[in-house]
Amino acid sequence: MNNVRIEADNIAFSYGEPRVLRNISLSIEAGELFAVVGPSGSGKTTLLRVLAGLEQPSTGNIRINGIDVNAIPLAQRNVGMVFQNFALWPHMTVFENIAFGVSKRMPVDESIDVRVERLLAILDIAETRNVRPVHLSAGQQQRVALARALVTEPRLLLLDDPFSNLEHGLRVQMRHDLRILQRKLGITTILVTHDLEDALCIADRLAVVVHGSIRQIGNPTAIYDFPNSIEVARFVGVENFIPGTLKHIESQLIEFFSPDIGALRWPMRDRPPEGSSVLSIRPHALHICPIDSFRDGRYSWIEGGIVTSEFLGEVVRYQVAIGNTCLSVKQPHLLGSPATPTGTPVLVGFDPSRTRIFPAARDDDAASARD
Amino acid sequence: MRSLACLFCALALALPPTGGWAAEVVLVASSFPKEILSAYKKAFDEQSAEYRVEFVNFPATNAISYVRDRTPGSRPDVFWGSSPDTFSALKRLGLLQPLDGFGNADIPPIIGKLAIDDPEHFHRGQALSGYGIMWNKRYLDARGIPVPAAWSDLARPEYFGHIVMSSASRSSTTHLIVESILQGAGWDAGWALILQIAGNCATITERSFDVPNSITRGRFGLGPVVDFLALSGKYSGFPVDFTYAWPSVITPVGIGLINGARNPEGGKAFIAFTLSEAGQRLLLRPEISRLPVLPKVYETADRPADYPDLFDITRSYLPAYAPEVSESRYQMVGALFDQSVTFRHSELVAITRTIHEVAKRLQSQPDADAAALLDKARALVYRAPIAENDDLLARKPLKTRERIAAIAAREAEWARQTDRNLAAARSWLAQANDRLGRRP
Amino acid sequence: MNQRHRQTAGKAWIPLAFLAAYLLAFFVLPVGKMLIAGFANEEHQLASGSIAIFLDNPLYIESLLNSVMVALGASVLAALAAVPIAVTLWRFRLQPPLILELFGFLPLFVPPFMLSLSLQSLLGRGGALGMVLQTVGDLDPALWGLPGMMVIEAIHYFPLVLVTLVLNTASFAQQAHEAARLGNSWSRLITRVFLPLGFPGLAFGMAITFLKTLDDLATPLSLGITNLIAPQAFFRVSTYGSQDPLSSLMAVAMIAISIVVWIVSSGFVRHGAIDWNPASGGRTLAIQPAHRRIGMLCLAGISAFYITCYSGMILNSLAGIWSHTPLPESYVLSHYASALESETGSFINTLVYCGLAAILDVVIGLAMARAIEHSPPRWNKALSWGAAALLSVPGVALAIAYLQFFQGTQLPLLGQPLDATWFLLPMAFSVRGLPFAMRACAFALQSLPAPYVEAASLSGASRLSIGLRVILPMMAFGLTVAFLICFGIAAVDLSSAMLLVPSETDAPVSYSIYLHMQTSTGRGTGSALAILTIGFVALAMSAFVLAARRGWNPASSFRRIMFPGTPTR
Repeated sequence: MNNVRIEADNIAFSYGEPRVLRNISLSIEAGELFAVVGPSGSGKTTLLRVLAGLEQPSTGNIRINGIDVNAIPLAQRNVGMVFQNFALWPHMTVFENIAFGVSKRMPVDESIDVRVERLLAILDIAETRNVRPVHLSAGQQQRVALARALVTEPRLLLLDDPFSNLEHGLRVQMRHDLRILQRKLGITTILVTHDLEDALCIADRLAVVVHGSIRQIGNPTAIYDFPNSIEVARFVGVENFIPGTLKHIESQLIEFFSPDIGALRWPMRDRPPEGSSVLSIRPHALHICPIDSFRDGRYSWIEGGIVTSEFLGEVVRYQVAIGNTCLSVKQPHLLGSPATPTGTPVLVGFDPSRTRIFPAARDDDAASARD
Repeated sequence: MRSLACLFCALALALPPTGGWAAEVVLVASSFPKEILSAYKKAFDEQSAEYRVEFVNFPATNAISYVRDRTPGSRPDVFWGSSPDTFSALKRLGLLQPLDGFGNADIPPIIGKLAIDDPEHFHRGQALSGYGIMWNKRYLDARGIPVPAAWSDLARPEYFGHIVMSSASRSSTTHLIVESILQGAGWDAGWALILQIAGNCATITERSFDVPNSITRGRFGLGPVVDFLALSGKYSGFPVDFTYAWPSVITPVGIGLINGARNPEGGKAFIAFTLSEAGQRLLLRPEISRLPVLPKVYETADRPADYPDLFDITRSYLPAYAPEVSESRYQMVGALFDQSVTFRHSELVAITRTIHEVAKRLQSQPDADAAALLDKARALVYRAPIAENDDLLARKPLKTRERIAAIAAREAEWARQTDRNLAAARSWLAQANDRLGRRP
Repeated sequence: MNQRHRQTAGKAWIPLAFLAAYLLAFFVLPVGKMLIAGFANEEHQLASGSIAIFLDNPLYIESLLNSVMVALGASVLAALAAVPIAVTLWRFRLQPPLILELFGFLPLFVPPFMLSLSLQSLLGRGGALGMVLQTVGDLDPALWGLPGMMVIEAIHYFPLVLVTLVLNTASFAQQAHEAARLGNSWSRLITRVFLPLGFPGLAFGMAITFLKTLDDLATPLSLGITNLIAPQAFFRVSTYGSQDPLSSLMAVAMIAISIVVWIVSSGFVRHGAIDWNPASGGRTLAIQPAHRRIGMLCLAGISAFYITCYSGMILNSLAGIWSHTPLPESYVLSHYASALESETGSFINTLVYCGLAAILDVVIGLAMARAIEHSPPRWNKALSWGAAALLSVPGVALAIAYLQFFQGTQLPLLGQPLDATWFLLPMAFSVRGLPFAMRACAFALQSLPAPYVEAASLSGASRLSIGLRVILPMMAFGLTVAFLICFGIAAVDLSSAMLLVPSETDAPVSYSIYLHMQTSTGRGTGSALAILTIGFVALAMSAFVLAARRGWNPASSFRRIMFPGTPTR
């Protein structure tokens, strides 16, 4: 029974005022790789520590396979954890670091040595066996930390931003390896990361945590495509937020009005409520054309002027001023074509069905959405 | 909270700081220097299987309060010291047990005119202490300073700046010398002499041992010391010598069993050892150099050649010394000494220097007025701080807060009075100097 | 991200209660009772009787003023001597080697009366320089009065002032040198860069000099100076007993002066939260050989000066007969033999007292450091400053407070009065060492971030094995440093020891040295003992440097530990 299911009910946590976690409820299926993402300071590491049992929630409870974890002492929860800075004990060798936890709970049929050696081999760090952590590279340290977490054959593996100390190429490699290993071992795993790419590419499901509460849970594509709030949208890479008002015109038709872009109408099946709203759209869902070009009827077109352009390699990112609003637009870079110069008047076109409309919840959200 | 503190210490005391617990401890309170104590400790511990001795060492002046402040059963077992006043006080306060049918029969009860044991046998004489002046021969030779013979010699101008002495409140030796001068010369004349000697002192040391120490070393020329310290220096090869100055004081070194001792049997064993021939012979060692009270020890071969003879010294004993008088005003004499000498020493030295200078000029150019001013100044500077019949000198219960406050108030008064006296004397001396200066 | 232990919160009250009990029993209550004793009469009502007597006695007022003057004079003298040398070293970018830097902290681990006694041998009329120069005048420091004490304390604490100054400025020497090459004048750099940077260190060194001088008992007594407040309090306690209200008042006055000085100086020290690590990385400009020579000459000169100062003691420890001759007539080693033979007891005592005090300090310091780390920021500051302010409780005052508070307290098992045992000594030592202990423990805690322990507890290992195999090894170095510092500071705390030592057999080494210095046959044994002790401390420091060279690099942290009151991170 390696696979465990974790349920958290209405968890709150605080170190005093203000609250770090609020009303967290989630359930993680057995064998799942579940990612918790969110901007820095959102409380995602705290959530992980609460799930690990390192912190006691102020309210709510956590059940592993239906059993309340508060009833189980920390050492018997059988949780493996990889810390952000790996927390390898500097006075022990790699072997000692990994073997430290096993002695007590060893099944009789296998010696510590065998188990540690096997892990060293799986993680491809066998040659570092007698080295102290100071002499290891970041990637090796991460593998040692992972081996240390896995050596007790935990029912739950917790990873606290394990890739943040790695450079990009190694990072891609490591998360790939991790995914394969996790599938092979079938351990329920919770990964905390501030990096969306990590989460999207390896998680079965993910939760977006903003300001201490879960804003959205879902599989990677659902969250990427259909963020349910401005915060989540901003986290998954939506950059343009245009405040305005929404009106229901007739059945399945809405009108969005903003002083800068005027009134736009398009059909929509599940219409958001009327009133002041924010229209959001990804930078690469926008198209830029010369001002006098043919306006494709599938798109809505707005006139504006280019303020800045940044060449990012695959894409060119433009800031286009439309009235008082500035839109961020990403255009694929074509071989040899120069970036459109600043000051050029352009047409910006978008497919209204690729936008998302959120109710303008608070004034400060609207204000921050404008920049 | 206190019980908590007690718990801590009970725990802490589980580890003894020195030694083991194998033998029962005899705790001896003493004012003697380390050489003596460690020699006796070694000798006693070697010959006794049952007991080992530990010493509590502090100036004898603090001994009474140390013993009295402890409840019976937790006091030290033996008091061993050279100050008869302390024994007198301990006996009066009921802090000693009689030692009847005890002691070495070969020790005569009276040597010369000096009674060795307490008449009621509350304490025994263990050795003799004589007090006198020790000097460094090289120091005096280099400066052409004559060797003194009597206490009053120390007041002479040629010794100015070359004497070292300790404070009567901190050193029982100094106290005994001060008290013997006060009794031998009378209260007022005695203080005048003491203040003049103090004015001649280069420094007033905190511990008595620093006096012989700086003399052997040659830092200072001479000073009042107890004989054994001087003699031990002399027999260790240092160029120092010693004389029993007039009016000489010889006191028995006493040893007594404390009432309320933790270990009275062990205490008796230690006392018996110190009175035995082995214990007496230890006194002849060069680093100890005390006068044994057992006459036959003097005949042994290990005695240094010019070791003082017992009967020579005891002949010059001044019988006027009264331990009861001394003891009744013990603390106050110390306090008076501190207030008028220790704490005002630099002023006293400065004014003594001026007095010597004016006196010297007067010798070469006599002037009646200046001489009168000088006498006035001398009288004022070297005046007894308080009258002998002052209330404070009568015996009173010590160490209540009111009593301490009353003494402190008087001390404040003396301090101000001393300052005024010194100021007045300074202006008279300046006048005298002016008069002498104006004349060709 | 905020990573704090929450799961331990439930048990946190145990160390906190222990901490509170300790502070209450051995600091707050004794000092509080002494305050009351100073200001109240027999019926515990506020009374001005003793204050009036105190103010009425010109001697006490004079002593108070003298004490302040001597302490101030000593710190100013030390600063005056240290600034030009520090400027020279800075100007020529000479960072003294670590071992010399550590020797700068020696004044904290060696009692100043040794210097006084050494100078007396060296400059007194009895021999050495004093005798040779007899024609010029009397050089014996005991005859100089207050200025003598001032000079001796200044000489003793000068290395500390110099080292704090050097440490505060060293990291900017390289930049200053580059600025000078770009055309800034050195005089401008010294006034605008060196002095403002060095001031916190200077203030700290001067404050320590002031506080230690004010508190010093053995040095003035060895010089025969009594009209200072510490000896006056000592005399009163030894003449009238611990219940004397005036000695309480004197202790209170000493505490008051110390607090004022501490507050004033800490104002400067607090703003000195700068990096004490010498700038590393980047290309260091080669130091011109001439400059190096000047700097080395400075350091060599200082070292030679100190060796000369202590040569009186060295000669004493080797002298057979030395009486009124420039040099000893004969040399012997017997003093060392007798020091080792007769003083094993006091060595053991020192080990026991200072060991206990240091263990207590480490435990309490750890509890305090943890409490501070886990407390809200405003408490955090108040706590660390409160602990640092313990520095300002003079040993004499603390000892008087203990004698008053514990008088009559009986030991439960042995039936002995508490003040007749040596028990109060380690307690007093531990209170005095606490400010340093706390910093050292905070440093030790930093070497063990929370995840390292969490990783271990998640691994399922037992608490014992986590403690033994993870927590202890990782904190070992920091705790050892803390222990050594506290031990060293306790070992020289003569001011409280002189009042609290119950019997000679219970005396710690420093007090034994003091006693031995006053035996009739010269100061041989005492000097030998002193040399052995200094040698031991120097050896311990060198061993520390060797340990530092291997593996860890704790030098910079060590520097920080010595400055109570400044941030530890």
